[in-house]
Amino acid sequence: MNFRILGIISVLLFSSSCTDKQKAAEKTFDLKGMLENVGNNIIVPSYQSFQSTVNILSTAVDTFVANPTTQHLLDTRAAFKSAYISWQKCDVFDFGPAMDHSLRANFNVYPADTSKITSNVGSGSINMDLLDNSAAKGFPAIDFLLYGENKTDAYILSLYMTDAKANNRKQYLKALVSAIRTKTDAVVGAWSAYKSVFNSSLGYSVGSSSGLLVNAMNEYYERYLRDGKVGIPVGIRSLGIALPKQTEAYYGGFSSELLNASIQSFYLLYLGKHGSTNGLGLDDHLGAYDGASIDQTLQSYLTDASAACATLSDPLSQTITNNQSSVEAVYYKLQKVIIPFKVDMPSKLGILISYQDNDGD
Amino acid sequence: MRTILSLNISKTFFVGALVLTALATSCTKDPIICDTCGIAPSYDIPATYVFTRSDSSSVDYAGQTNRIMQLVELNAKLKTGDAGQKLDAQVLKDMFANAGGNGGGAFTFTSTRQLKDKCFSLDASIYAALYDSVALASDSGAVGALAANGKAGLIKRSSGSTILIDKNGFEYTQVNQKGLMGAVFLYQIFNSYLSEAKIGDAVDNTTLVAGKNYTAMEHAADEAFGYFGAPIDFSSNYTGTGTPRYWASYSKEMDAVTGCSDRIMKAFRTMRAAISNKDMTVKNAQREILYVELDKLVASCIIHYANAVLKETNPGNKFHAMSEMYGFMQALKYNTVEKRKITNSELTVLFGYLGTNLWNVTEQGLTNLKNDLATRYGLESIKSTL
Repeated sequence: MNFRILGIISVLLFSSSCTDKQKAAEKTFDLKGMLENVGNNIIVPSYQSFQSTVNILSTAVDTFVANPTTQHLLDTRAAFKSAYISWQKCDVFDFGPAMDHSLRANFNVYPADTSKITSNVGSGSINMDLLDNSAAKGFPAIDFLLYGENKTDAYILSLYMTDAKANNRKQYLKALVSAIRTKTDAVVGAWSAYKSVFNSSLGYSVGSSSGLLVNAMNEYYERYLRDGKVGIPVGIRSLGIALPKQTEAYYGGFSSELLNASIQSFYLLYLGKHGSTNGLGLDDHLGAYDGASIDQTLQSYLTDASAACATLSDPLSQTITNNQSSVEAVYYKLQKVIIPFKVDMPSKLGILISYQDNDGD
Repeated sequence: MRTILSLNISKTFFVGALVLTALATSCTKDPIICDTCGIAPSYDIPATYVFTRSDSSSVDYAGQTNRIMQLVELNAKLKTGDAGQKLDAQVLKDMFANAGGNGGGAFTFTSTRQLKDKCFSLDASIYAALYDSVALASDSGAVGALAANGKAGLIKRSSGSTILIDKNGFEYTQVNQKGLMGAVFLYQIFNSYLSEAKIGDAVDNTTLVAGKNYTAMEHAADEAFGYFGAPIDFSSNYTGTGTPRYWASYSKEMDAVTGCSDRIMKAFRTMRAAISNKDMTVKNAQREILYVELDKLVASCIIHYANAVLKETNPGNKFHAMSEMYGFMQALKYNTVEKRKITNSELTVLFGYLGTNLWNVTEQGLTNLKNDLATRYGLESIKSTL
């Protein structure tokens, strides 16, 4: 008997009967097709459209700073809101280029640290690189600078015209938008090369694209969508004591709109849907892997959760104050998605959830 | 697998192939192939860390288990400070030194061992000072004082719980815990139990230690394993009932990305089997693997926490993760001078990226730190997924 053949046979035996993951791979699903759909038709276009809203915001801020009129303030706010909504569709992709550039930690740490913002405006300088400034930059800081807390438009305008620190404030606002723009451009640029990496990192291991995507979706949904946008402000993490000031876009008062944009795009991402085309998504993957019932459960829970979010009115901070239990009910609808999404789906697809919400110690 | 096939076909390989074939259907054991020497040992490497002589166990690392449990209880005590209770410096010092054999009455068990006398001697005073400092800070914590730059106090995590940090943002509990993981456990593994004096070829591996069922060399291997903190059946994707402690628990945490748990456990098991079978070549090869793998585990943990900080949005979580990272950074220095991949002056540069005040840490500093370690420890390809 040829030893080499014996060796090969043993290797074949060894590699064919091992793990569930490998068993799963015998089922047929076009994983590459799903990644291409998600990467080419969802992620890249989402970043590009976010980039264009950021450019519009940048232009609006330049115009406003050069000539602070009521109309320019309103235009800037509209551009800000549009960019913030567009960001909701990108936030979930926190791997690869977004992770390399710490997008989320740069763009959306809220509640804003208003005393730090005020002190930065006072001193006329901000070190964007300093982690301790993370709640004094990004969208939440711009939110504060454009709206203030219960302030009239005339008062806000005066901060950019007659206030002793008007010039510092203008420069600060410009610097915040410019920092967002630089990071956004870097990530959009990086995706043009990363796209092929993403589309071709097949399999289900921790560093594979499906592993990165499903982990990122879980972490985003659990911590930033469910907790950040609803759970924390409504008091889930503070013994039922509501913290309305911790809502996203607290000053602009359009938290619910952001939440709706977030959950809708999350659902579409799950479906692999873009525009009117329903491409390959995780739902199809589940279907091909004997997971149609998990998919049905997930779709029904995501539909319920989206519908519940749609009932929330803005400003969400006031809704929380006036009718806390109605917002708590939305939280529990969001919560129902977690088990099928974080446990059932990954186990069916052979994907390990490797992120931890809170380290054990 | 390709490497194995390309080896010269020899009788040894034939045996190896048979073993591989036998194992192929079960998937529960590693194929027994020595990574570095290309020779399959003629003796068994057990699948779990179980070794016997005359039908009774020849393994003993009770002292290491004691110290690990002392750190567990000391850590739990410090956590009461995180929750806003007052801490007493003397109580903590008594736990560190195991005063009276029961940590001054604070431990739930008695033992003759202590953390303090096994701590790298030049660093033992750091911990005494830390206990004084945390006791003082806990006075602020007890009245709910919030931390700020330059001011010790509590800071809230995303879970809703609080941690107690010093005026520079360092979380006492983490600095102590990760610090002692390095200054006691890793320091002892690297400088004592894997040293020439304890496990070199000249160490007695023939006579049994008086009243014991092991040789001096076997015992050194066991004590090194004991400080790793792993259950005897620990492995990658571990689902057993034992609790991995400290280094083993972080090996478990890094494992999905690094796959390190199997490599470390295999090296410990193979080293011990080699010693019992008087195979010094394989023993020494495994020892080298442990020096490299454990060092790499430390570097992986640091990069993991750097990533965690870079993406973190909650300030409390951020200080928590930075403190863990700082503690793991300390551990880099406990490898021996000849085995280390980083010199003391390079370590100073590394700590410089973080600075002495966590309130002043920058994104660029963390990125530099991460890149330095990824290059130095061969973790470039996984630095973004850790």
